[in-house]
Amino acid sequence: MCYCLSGHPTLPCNVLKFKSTTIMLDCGLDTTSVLQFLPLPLVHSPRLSKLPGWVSKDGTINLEKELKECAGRVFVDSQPEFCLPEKELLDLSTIDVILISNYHCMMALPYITEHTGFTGTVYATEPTLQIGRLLMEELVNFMERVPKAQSATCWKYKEIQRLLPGPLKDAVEVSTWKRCYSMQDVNSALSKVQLVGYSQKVELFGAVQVTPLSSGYSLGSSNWIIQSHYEKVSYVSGSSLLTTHPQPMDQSSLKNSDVLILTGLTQMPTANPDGMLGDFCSNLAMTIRAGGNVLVPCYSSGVIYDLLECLYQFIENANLGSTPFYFISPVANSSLEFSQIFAEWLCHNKQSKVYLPEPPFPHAELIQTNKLKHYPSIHGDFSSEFRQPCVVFTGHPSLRFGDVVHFMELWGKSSLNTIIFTEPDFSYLDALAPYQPLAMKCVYCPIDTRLNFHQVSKLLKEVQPLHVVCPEQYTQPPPAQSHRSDLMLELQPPPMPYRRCSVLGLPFRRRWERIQLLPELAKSLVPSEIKPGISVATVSAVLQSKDNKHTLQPVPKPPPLPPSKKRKRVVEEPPEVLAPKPLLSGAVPLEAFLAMLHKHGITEVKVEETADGHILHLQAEDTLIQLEEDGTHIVCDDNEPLRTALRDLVLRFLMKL
Amino acid sequence: MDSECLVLLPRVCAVLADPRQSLPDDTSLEKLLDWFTGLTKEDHGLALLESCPCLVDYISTVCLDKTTDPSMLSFSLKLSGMLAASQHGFNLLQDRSILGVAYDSERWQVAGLWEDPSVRIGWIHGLSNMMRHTQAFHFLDQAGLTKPLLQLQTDPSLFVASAANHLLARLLTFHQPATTSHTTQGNGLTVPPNKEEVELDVTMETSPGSGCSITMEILKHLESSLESDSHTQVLQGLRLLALTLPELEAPLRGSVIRRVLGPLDGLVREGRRAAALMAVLLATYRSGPCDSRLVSLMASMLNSQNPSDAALCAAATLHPETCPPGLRQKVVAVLLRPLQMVTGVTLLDWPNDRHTDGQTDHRHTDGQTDHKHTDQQTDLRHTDGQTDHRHTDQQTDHRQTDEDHRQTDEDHRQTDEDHRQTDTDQDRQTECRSSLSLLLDHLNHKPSCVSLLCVSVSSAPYITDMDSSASVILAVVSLLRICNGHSPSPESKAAIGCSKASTNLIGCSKVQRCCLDSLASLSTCPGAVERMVEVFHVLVQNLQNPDSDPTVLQKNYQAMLRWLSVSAEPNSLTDLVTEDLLPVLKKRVCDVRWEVRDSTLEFLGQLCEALSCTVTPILLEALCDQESYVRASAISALARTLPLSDQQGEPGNRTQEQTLGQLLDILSQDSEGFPRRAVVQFFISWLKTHPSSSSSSSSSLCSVLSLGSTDLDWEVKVHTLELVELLMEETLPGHQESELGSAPPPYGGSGGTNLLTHTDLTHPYAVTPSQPSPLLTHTPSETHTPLTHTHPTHTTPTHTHPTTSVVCGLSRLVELGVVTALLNGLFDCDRPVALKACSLLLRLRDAVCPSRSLGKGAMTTDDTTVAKVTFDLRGQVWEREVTRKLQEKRGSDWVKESREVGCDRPNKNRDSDRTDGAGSEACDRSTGKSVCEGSARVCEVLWSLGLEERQSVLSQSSDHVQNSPLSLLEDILNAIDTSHTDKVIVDCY
Repeated sequence: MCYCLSGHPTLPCNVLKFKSTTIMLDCGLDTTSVLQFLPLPLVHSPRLSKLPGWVSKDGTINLEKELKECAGRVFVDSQPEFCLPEKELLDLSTIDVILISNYHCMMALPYITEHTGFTGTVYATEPTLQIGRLLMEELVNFMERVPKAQSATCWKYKEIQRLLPGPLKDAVEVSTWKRCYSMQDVNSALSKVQLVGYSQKVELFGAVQVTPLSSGYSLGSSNWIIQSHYEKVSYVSGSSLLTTHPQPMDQSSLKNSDVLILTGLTQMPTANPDGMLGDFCSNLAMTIRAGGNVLVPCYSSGVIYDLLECLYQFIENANLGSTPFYFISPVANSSLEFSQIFAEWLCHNKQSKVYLPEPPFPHAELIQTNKLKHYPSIHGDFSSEFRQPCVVFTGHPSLRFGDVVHFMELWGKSSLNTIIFTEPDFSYLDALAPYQPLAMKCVYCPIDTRLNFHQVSKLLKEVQPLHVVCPEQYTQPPPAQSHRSDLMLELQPPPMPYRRCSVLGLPFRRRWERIQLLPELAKSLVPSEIKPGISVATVSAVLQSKDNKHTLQPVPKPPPLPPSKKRKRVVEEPPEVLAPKPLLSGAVPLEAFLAMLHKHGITEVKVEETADGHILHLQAEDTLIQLEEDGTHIVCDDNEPLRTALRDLVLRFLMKL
Repeated sequence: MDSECLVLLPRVCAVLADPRQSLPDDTSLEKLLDWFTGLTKEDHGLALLESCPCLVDYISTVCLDKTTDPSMLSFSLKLSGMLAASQHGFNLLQDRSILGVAYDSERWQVAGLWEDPSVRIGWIHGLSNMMRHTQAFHFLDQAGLTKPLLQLQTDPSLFVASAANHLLARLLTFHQPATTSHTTQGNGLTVPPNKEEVELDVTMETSPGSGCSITMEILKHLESSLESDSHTQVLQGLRLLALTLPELEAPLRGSVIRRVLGPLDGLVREGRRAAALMAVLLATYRSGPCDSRLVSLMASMLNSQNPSDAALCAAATLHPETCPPGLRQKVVAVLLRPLQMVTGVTLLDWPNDRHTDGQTDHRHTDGQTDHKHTDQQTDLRHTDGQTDHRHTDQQTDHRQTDEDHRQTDEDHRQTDEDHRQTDTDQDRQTECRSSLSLLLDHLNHKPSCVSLLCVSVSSAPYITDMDSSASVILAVVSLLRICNGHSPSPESKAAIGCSKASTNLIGCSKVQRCCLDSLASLSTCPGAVERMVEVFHVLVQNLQNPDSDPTVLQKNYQAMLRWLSVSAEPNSLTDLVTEDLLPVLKKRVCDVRWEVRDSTLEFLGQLCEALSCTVTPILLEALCDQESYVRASAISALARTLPLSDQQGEPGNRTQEQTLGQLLDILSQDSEGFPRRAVVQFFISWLKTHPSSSSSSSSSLCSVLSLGSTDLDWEVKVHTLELVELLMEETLPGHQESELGSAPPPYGGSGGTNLLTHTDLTHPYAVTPSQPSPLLTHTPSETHTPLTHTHPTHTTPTHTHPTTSVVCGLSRLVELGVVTALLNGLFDCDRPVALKACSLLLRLRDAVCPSRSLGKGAMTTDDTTVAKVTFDLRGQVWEREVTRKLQEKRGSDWVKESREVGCDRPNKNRDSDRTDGAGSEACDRSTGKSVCEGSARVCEVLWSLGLEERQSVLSQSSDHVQNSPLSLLEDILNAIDTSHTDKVIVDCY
């Protein structure tokens, strides 16, 4: 069974019940909900504080305190909240393990592992854990830096929500939206993580084995193989075939899957990352040359490494050597440094640099030459060293919190400046909504290196899974481009689509189990050959099932009677074991059997053919012999000697084991 | 042939004929043959045979020897054929019975030499060379050489087979019976007089020995090879036909056609080898009045079941000169159908296959077009062959026919005829539908879809004579939009059944390039103006798309220029340029791919020239680009925008001096040649619009000349000399037309030509040499003031005597450093540079320096003044050389003069003669100190350099000695000698 707790195709959260284990695959946090909230400014913003409150047209609903109007849209004035994975579909405390595929897909982890009774283990690779921790820390930091006293709740009531304007009205599951977790939750959640390496096999209760494989998308990102002895499920999430910094994707291990769960394809199927990277650079250069500043709202890890690498080559070409580049994030320093130490998780090219020794990423050189400077926040050192025109990389890409809010307020009024969106997770128009009217130029260069439909169909042709499970979004062309039939999955048999709260029965047929024989039992077996090359032996043993492992153990011998003559209460007297009767095999040939009967003086035999064999009527003796494929019955009334004789005749034709 | 060669040739022949010798260099025989070919061309080989009887001996020796080396035999066969090309030579060789032996192929087969392809090809080339007179033709006939030749037509060696085919073609056309009249139809096709053809066949069959037997034999062979099962044989047959038919005349031509028509028809039906077949048909069609039988073959090829074949045939047939008038409509239909199906733009009235034979259909009126289009859509949606739908369609057609009947009000007979017509129409429709479904299959398969569309789109510009050219443009625009991932334009009807096709095309740069080329050509067609907006929209869209390939962008720019040039309202375009185009161009100038930056800058230059707007800041930024090509393009673009920036004033606070300074920095510091070349070319164009007399230009030009003439790159130096040439023209008034203006410069600077009308778009990454402009694009300034410089030889008032202005001009040239630059060039180690400098110096000398300035005879005062202009040669690399030349010259003059005068005059007097007016000079010629204080007289130096002699040395290529026939002969002899004496093998590392 597969329980789908998230409807977001790139921030999946699915639970797989497979062979008596309950495995959660990723726990992505849908942060697009924050777009409904007002930005959290780092310094007091007169503009935001003076926004008018919202009152319904007829004046019946007054949510002045909770909702503010800005540029024709209504925003919630409260601490931003996130849309969590579905919690009601199944009891989260029953989850045995959580497998994390990459650091973007673990942001909901504290919500799952804390306060739900979860007692299992989380498996992730080291970079995933470390960078995931950075991203969580950053998120918590962004939120806690600018605390909001009040929490808006009234607007969430269903009766009120349906009367609200615009996107707020259509927001889903608002009642389940939650504020950000605390650092304590993060630490506690991450303490449950157990580190794994690529291709490492992890046994889960003896029933299944899970293995992470490199997925090529980000540092330490992985796909997972979940297999038992006779079934194999592949979980493909956020993979990339492009040669960027991470280790290339391991495709061959995905072959021969019964079911392949496919999530995390590119969100921008029409935007080729190379073209976007080029566009990013040219827009950046154009703005700087015209004397403007460039703001790049981005996550503190991931694509930024590639951006910096691309810029490293480009700034020389474009004659931007003197322009300062700033990277501002509470975790900027750690992120830049971490990327350099995870050598074993990098692509071959970068790995080999480590042995030279050279830093694998060129941003080290940018930092050394003072072209790239990083600061934890706009406060402090940054303000004294800030020079314009410049390029600033900072979070959060939703433009609702983080240092980016400050730069939006600072630079938004000048048309010389440009904001370049590179993260594909947020609609840039929605992100910019609370900043309107905006003079700043805006460029959308979403860089999503994950698999596109062309690549994925090639991949699936290669690995040939029997069944594919994927979000329903992948089974139809994007709504805006309904003619692009190339932007969907077309498979034979068609993929099984899922949406939030779907429960899918996976098409497995459990047919076989593996059972182990203990050596001493094996020694006692006496095989006899029934056909050339095929030997059979009877086994008498006790089947023990423990931790989903099945073992045949020798039948315990009855303990010798205790020598003492004291009378003891026999608690568990083992049943007396009789020597087992030999097993019979073979078939009784009719003609030969009749001849044999004739020899023994039984001549009057009437043979009748039935569906399963023959019935022989011994008319003189008034006895019936039913000869069937898997059994022979002798029916005679109170003539035991005759029965025994007949039995012995039958047995002559059969083999005994 | 010169006497030295004549002496050596017998020895060479002897060496070559000696089977024990082996040639070390296998190209020497080729060179020898080339030499002989040249010699025979001059005098038809007569003198060659007479002066070198050794050649005949040589051929005879080689051909009689069965153990000859194959390459030697091949050479001899070719040579003998060449010699036998003249009747005299032929007779001479026949007298010695050489030809019969040499061309006996069986003999060579027995000797085992025939297996070597070089022998076979020598045999064919020899015969080909020979076939210039009837005697040779008869020789071939009598010796029975046709048979082996026919065998060679399918030789495993492609070269041999092809040469054999050419020879066969030649034989067929060599002997043609007399021409008789043929009738021409109204449509330009000919109907051959069948009777005559038949008679001709009979004549050829029955008159052996007239040469007809060869023709007959070849024709029979041709017929059988066209019917053969072997692919090679058929292909060779078709090639032979393609070679022969255009050359043949009636009635033989008709006879050949009659013979091959059956086999050709069979091949067309088979539907294979379409390309070769079409080559035959087209070659024949192009060569003259076409046989109607061949045209009907062409028509059936267009009906080919395979859409790709049909499209290729149609594209080949389309050209206006070659397209048979009756076929044009069909051709257009075949070509445009794929385009229509993918884009959904109505291009054809449907189904028009039935009008293919040029029959005018009275029912086909304009009013029905839309109606038929709907039918077509229905057809296409149900191409799977569902009979129900077909039935409805037919009903529709019946209804339509009935309606037509009412409308046309024809008589009863006509109606019956129409009913019959309708029946056949139904058959055709069924056929058409199956061909449509086949076309759909092709379009849904990516490779065939791309190739079909490329053919279709590339042919579109040739279909502009139809009324629908605006729709063709719309279709191409739609296709471009599809390639960009947009759905087909809302104006067009939805593309039918081709959704897969359009997804195949997304991002397909091959189709995009074809479309853009085609769009560029379509800019001049009648309906272009109507579609202007759509076209510009899609072109800008291409530019905005970050995934556009650099080559696509390049084509995009070319197309945009073409459309800008035809735009009727340039003002409306200015808005488009400033609002849509310039922002995206600014972005593309910062593109990551240098190719894009380069072509964008190139385009910016052309755009600004066309629309009179300046983008100087962008261009100046690009001067610092990392890529040298881009820097060069930026400089070229700056040169183009130069006149504009002058008119409109420099934007910002940047002055022209700063720009010039930056360019000079590039010239002196740039590590790559391209930008430096571009800088010099910039100054060439700059000089054409700015007088050199302004102070800023003077100093800049001085620097350009001194930097450019000492550059490491030879092209920079040549460009610098072009600049020098311009300066000379400008500075020496009155001389340009007579001496200086005699030849246009090999590389022109950017002239005042309008680039929008400039169709020759150059390679994207080359430094753009624009059209050569006439030398004198502006009137040379006569008003420049005399300049004071460190060596003031004299001061002259302006506007006076021509000689005075010559003096003035020369001093100005000296001051600009022209003379130094020319001498730098003259002593340069690169031959083209030295040659150019030498010719310029010669022109300067002849234009300026009086021949009497050497001091002898009576010299006018003016001449004396000119002769006294000096220049500084201190510190130049050639200082010593020039000084030496001067001394030599003076020494010889001294001797000459002394002889003339008869005695030595005291030095004192001489000195006093020469120091007038130039007080600083105190040259002591007798002591040999001829260069005084580091300066020398220009004219004296020019006369002393022996320029004519230098020019003749320089104009010979550096390998002229090695390439001479004498050298070749010596090489052959030497190689043989050394190969005998030195057996030492030297290892080469």
